[in-house]
Amino acid sequence: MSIEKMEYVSLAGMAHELDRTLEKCVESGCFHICDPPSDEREGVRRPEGENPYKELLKRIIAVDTGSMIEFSGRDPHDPRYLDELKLRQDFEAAEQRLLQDNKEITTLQDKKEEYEQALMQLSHLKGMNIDVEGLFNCNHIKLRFGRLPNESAVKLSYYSDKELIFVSYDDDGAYKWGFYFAPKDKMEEADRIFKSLYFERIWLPDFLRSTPEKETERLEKLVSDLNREIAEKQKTREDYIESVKDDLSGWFCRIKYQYDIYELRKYALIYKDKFVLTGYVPKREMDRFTAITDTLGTVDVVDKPAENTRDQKVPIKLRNNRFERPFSMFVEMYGLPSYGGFNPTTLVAITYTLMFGIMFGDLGQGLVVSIIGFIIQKKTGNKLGGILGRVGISSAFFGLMYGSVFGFEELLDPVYKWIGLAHKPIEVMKQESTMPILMGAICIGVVIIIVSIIINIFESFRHKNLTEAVFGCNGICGLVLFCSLLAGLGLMMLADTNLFTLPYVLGLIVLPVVLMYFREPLGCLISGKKYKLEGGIGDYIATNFFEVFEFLLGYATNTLSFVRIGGFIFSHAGMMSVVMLLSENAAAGASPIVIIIGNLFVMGMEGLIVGIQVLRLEFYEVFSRFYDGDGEAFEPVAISYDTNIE
Amino acid sequence: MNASKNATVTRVRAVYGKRLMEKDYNELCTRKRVAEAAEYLKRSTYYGDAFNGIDTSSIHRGHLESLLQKAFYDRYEKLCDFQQLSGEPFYNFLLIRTEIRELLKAILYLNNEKEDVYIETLPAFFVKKATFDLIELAKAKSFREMLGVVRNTPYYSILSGIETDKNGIVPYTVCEVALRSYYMSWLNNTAREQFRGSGRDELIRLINVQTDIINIINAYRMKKYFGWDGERIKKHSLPFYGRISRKKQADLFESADTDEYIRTLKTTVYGRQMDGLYEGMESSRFEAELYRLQCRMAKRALRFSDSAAVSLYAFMHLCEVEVNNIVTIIECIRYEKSIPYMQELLVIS
Repeated sequence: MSIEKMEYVSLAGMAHELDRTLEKCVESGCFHICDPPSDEREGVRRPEGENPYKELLKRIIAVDTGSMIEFSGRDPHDPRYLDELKLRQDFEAAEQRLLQDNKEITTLQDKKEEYEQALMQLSHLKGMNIDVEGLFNCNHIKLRFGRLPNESAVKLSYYSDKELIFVSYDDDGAYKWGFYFAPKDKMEEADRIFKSLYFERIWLPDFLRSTPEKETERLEKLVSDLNREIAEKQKTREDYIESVKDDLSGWFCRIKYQYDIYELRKYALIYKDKFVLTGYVPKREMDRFTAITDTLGTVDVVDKPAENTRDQKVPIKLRNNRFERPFSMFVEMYGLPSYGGFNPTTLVAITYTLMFGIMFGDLGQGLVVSIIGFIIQKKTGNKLGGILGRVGISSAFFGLMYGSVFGFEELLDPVYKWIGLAHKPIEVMKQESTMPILMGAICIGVVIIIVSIIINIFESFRHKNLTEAVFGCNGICGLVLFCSLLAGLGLMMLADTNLFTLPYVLGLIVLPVVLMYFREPLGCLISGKKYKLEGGIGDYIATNFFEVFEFLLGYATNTLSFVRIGGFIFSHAGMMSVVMLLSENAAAGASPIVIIIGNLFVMGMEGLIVGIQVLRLEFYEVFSRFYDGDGEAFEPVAISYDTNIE
Repeated sequence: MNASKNATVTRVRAVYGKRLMEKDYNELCTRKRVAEAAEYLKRSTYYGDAFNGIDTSSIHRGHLESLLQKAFYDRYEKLCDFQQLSGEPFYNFLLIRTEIRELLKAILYLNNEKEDVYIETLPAFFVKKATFDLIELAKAKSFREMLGVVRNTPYYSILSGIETDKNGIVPYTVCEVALRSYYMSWLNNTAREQFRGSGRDELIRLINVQTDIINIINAYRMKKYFGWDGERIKKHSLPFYGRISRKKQADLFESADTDEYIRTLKTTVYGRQMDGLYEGMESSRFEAELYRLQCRMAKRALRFSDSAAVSLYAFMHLCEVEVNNIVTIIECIRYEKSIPYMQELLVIS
């Protein structure tokens, strides 16, 4: 409906009460904190120093508990955690215990990994039935284990005259695993050659003694023992975490609360032993806010209407009724209005509901969409659910008008007869309905565009932007031109009456175009400002020619853009008739399944497309005429129980 | 056009669609280690298959380059195999080009008495593909032994007439001109014999561009580094005239210095398409500009041609540029060069 009135609030008190004041601001849930106006006086400073809770908070978050703990949902004022010293001692004891457990598990895992690495290497040695230890103890030759890229292997024949041998015992497709050996005095040359062949050396662990097969067996047993030991340790650790997880969550919430409160101190200004905090409180909440802060001994609260603040951008809280509330999501998506501006939620709620219903008219599907929407809203609080609930009812209403229930076009005929109607109020599928539906869609568009232009004129006058209000394409000139063209063309087509007489054309079409062309100098003239031509006369003529041309083109395209409303009525009816056709051709038993799947498909796909198309109409054809969306959201200070603290 | 080859054109375009984009090059340039660049290529680009089973964490730069060369050649073979094109003479162009490259490399290392280094640079994947024994070529200790290895190939008749000096040094530039001339005329003749119509014209145009660009770059180098006159440059250039007329080529070669060379080049069909030419420019920039132009032409051919031969020929050129770009980045990473420096060296059109 409107934008919540705000009060600019200053809280001043003794510095020792700053933290308590911030706590009360958080408790109120209606205080949007902001930077106080700059104060150049000597001695005025910001609170300094590293947050004393940061280190402890980081440690609590860093405790490796797997995914067993959810750090939220605990009361930060729980008396068990108010004693900070005891909290620190309790946490450190738990931390030590968990670190010790982790260390032991890591040691075991490292050992296991070492054995597994050795096993992996042994798996490539299995073709070699020699004692590993024996190979390394040769007196006259040296050898290197490793892998040679397969491409390089073809080059080995080049070195056939050298005193070196490469023995491969495995091939994994990319590498040949093996070892090369050479007399001790030729090893340097062999190393150089194999390096040029991209041989990658592998150091076998020194605990390998016997043949690869025997060593594999021994290591596998060791790995299995280690696995058992690790599992036992992990079980003990998990049991301990289970026993302290409530406390860990409580500690986190308490320390995060204190951390966030401390972080809010940066918004305060300190002068000698006093502080000042500033922010915004909705006018309606002012009494409640004052009652909460009254409990603070030395703190004075001063408030004044937000419009009296000059340098600050006033935060925006939209005030909507129950019906409109979910549609604020679309407004926020585009951007909030500025303070004192126009809240378009009502317009969006009405036009969106209406257009969606017209484009997606089906009694059965509408009710299903509505029920699903309300369930989503109830379960998750998601605004989209609320929107679906509302537009679903609109769809159901228009479905009633079209006589369509889950694609059955004749199902409601007895109802119409019963209430005395000869046929459906709107016969979508009849050929003679095509033009009226499309013309109706354009008429809806015309009305929406005219309403948007009127809102823009009103808002521009309110903000004293006379150029836009009078001479803009969405101002009085634009409105006159748009209406004159529409009236002239409409009567010519429908009533065969030609309104385009010379005075009509000159007064209602040419004059507004000329005024729009010279809107900037004329706007300055009526505002009493001096107009300064920038870029030269040629530039002015060319730029304004194209701009006015674009305005004219825009009127036509924007109006025709609404034809899609009619188009989707036919599209919906067409898709449902395809579903019905398919169900008729399906086997007897499969027919209901085809109808159900077809309905679900149409609801899912067409519902989504219609939703997006209507939103597009709202944003492009309506919002662009009068709305900037450059407001800043009202966000009352609160504690965030998010573990990401940087 | 043979309609059955449409599939190759489409496939070539599809593979081209997977090429490295500017963002990939930028990502690669930000890598601090060769292994990180290899990991990026493996995980995030169409080179992933080439790294199958390869442990990139310990990969050697040379190994990485050989994998890239192999991937490049494999791509060419796969595209040829797609419609059994390998049986048609023209589609051996990369095989011949690679063989010539290896022969020239071997001659260069032989002249420098570094035969043992040649085996290290020899692309191992090519050993089984070449029409002569590359391992024996690497073992050759003299030009005569080298000729023995290529005795049953067309290269023998080209090289056998070339005399070494009294120290056994092979005149490299003479070999280079002779082998490249053979390659270019083989390309031209095969294209003319094998293809007809607009496909043939497009293909010959691409070949001519390649000839011209080789000559332009070589002449620029000879002018800049040796100050040679027109006659001498002509002697060491490919004896072909592509899209540059005989007269224009003579004007270019006879330029007094590199500045005049660039001024003359600007009046040619190539110079008119290059905005980045200026007098006194560095050799590396000059060459990069020409390679960019060649890439643009290859891209255009790839986009608009419906000939399999043109598509494949243009695509392989673009792939080669891509591999060279990656190798450039890897070398820059190894020598810890700055990102802007790397980006300047890349040929991205």
